[in-house]
Amino acid sequence: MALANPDVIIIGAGAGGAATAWRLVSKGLNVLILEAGGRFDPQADYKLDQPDWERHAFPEKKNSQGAVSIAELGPLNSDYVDLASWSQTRGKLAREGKRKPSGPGYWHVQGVGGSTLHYVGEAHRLNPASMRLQTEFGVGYDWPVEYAELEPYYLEVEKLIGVAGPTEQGERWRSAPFPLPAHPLSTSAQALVQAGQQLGMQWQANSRAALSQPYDNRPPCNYCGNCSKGCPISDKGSADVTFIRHAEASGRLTIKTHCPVVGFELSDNGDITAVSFIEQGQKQRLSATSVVLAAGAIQTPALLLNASQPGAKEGLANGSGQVGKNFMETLVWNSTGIVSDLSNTHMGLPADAICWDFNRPDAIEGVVGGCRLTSATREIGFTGPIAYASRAVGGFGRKMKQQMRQSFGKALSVGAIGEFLPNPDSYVDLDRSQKNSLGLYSPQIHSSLGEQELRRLRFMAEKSRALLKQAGAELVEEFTTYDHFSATHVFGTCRMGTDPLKSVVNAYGQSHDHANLFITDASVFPSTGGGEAPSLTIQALALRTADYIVSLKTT
Amino acid sequence: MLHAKYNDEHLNISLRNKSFNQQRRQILQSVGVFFAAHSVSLSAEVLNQGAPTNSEKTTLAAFVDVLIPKDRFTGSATDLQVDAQLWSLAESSEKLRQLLAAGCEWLNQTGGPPFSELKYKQQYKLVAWMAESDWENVPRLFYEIVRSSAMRFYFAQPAAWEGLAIDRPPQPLGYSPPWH
Repeated sequence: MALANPDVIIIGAGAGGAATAWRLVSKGLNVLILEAGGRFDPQADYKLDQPDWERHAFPEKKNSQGAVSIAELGPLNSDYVDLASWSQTRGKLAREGKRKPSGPGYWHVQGVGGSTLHYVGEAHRLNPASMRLQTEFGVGYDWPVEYAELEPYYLEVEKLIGVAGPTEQGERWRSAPFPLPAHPLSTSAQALVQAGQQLGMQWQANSRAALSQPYDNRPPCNYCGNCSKGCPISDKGSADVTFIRHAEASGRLTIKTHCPVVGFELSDNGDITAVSFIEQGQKQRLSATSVVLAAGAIQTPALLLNASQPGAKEGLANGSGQVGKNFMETLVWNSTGIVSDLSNTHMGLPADAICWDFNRPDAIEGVVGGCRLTSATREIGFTGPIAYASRAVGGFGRKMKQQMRQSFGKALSVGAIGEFLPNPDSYVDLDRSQKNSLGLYSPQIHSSLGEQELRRLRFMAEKSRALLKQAGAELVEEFTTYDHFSATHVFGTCRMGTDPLKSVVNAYGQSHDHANLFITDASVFPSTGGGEAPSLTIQALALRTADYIVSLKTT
Repeated sequence: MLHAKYNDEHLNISLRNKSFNQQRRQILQSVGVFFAAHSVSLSAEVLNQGAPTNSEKTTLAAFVDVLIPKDRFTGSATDLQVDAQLWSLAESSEKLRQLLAAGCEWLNQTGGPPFSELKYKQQYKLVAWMAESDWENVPRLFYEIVRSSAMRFYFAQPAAWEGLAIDRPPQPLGYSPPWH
């Protein structure tokens, strides 16, 4: 392709950017992706074949983490001390009486594939009821797109990445089965299915972007249980081995890695005329007919706010003042216990079983916004002896070694993720204390849990504990976002809507202010859903936006 | 097809190559979290430490062997060079080096013989007391950080897995069902 004159420039090669690129090149357009991070080599970078694999988190490479800070998170609400995180080995995990980030707080990857590289690979459609929160339940915002409009796009994404799952999906109706059959359930998932039945809950196989059979020249999953450390055999449907691989094969996609974007130029009519970026230390600029921003719900608003200039004094696409507002994070509960009758719970697919019973916005009494429960033993890292010795088996000496042998392979974890409603104290702005190495202000995350979130968390805790009790587990650890900020799913900071005064982009992800600027990441989500993993919806929306861009070019 | 078959030499290679630097960083990050969460005052005598003294080496070796003693299945912490790996880690962290010095000093100032010369039961009682002591003081901080790091070094070695339901890393073979 003529690199100097692409049809579309996409900023970011994660879930949204990759899907957008694939669709555009499939329609014959030339696309350039500017990616701030680099490429990962699944076989060389993911260390799961080494005996010390547990000590390797997902690898950090040059530029694989974006600059971001987290503002003070405030004191803990003392009415909910029963939700505090703790472990058998460490006791209370937040002793300071205030909420704090867990690790980096915002867990993400910059690079070709983005955060799909370290995601577990749950492939969820959004509950249609969660897309009408304002109309049906009087809170949050409605989506300007209906489930029925997204359904064919969901199907295409599922087909491309190879989703495995059971056909019966309740309110998430399907016009065709998943392309692959569901995965077998691990011993831990089977224990939760059984405990759930006894408690009147319905559990089923989760829909997963991991191959249950050979597919698209990729091998099937071998159930090593460590998806979030990176998949070395490439059966996981991360964007690099699916959308990007196919798009690059077309010959119409160019990816410039380690090229962070630093600015945008505007014409008098508000169109983006050029994008500037840093390449090997030099500032470069390129133009295209359309520009797609897909840097995620933290960096996307930061890029827009940093781009304030005459004609866009409050930042690009910010005529509504909504850029960075409505930040919604991941509301998480995890409980883990040891079940003496279980074995080999370190084996199998992470998040292999799910319960959708409480997912509807009205499923939890007295709270608007639902949640889902999953089999979480491997997802939260109980895959090897270091995790057990560090988190589940306390003490020392021969007794500790004996307990390790009695406990290993018997951890049973329930994970819950719930709806997060927007509130005025949760937002992303710029940390103006100093500019970063790119000459930009870094994004700063502000987070606050509302009363609805705390009550939802308590419900999630009660259900998780009840399941473990029913399964005969002795609790050893609970981790919660009551006292930690720990977000993998982030949403809402460039909300889509029909009113240009109250939203950033329209139903096609097109900026209300700049006709050739589009956004295809989770920043456009008006609501989070009741715990659904967002990548499938990001990608379905991205295909729809890409089709719209093509239609504009055609007309 | 995608991976070299695992063997013991693999570990030695990984300890030499750049991936080890990342692991060190990750362990040191966890040490840093401890220090950030618990203000601990270290005496002037334990600041600016260099290479470990023989006394420190002996004391830490004895301490980690109380944490992870030899039994009929697997060797002790020192059998698997956990103490040496801790000292190596401390070369990258002045704070950790200071804490090791302070902890060893504390273990040897209990009024009796040095910690390494105490009977096992006496050592065990002392460590048990440390495990329940105040989070803000050296004994507890030393216990927690050394325990956490020692477990990471010890259980990262297949020689420590005898008796556990695991005998190899997760890849390249994975775990084929059924799993009962």
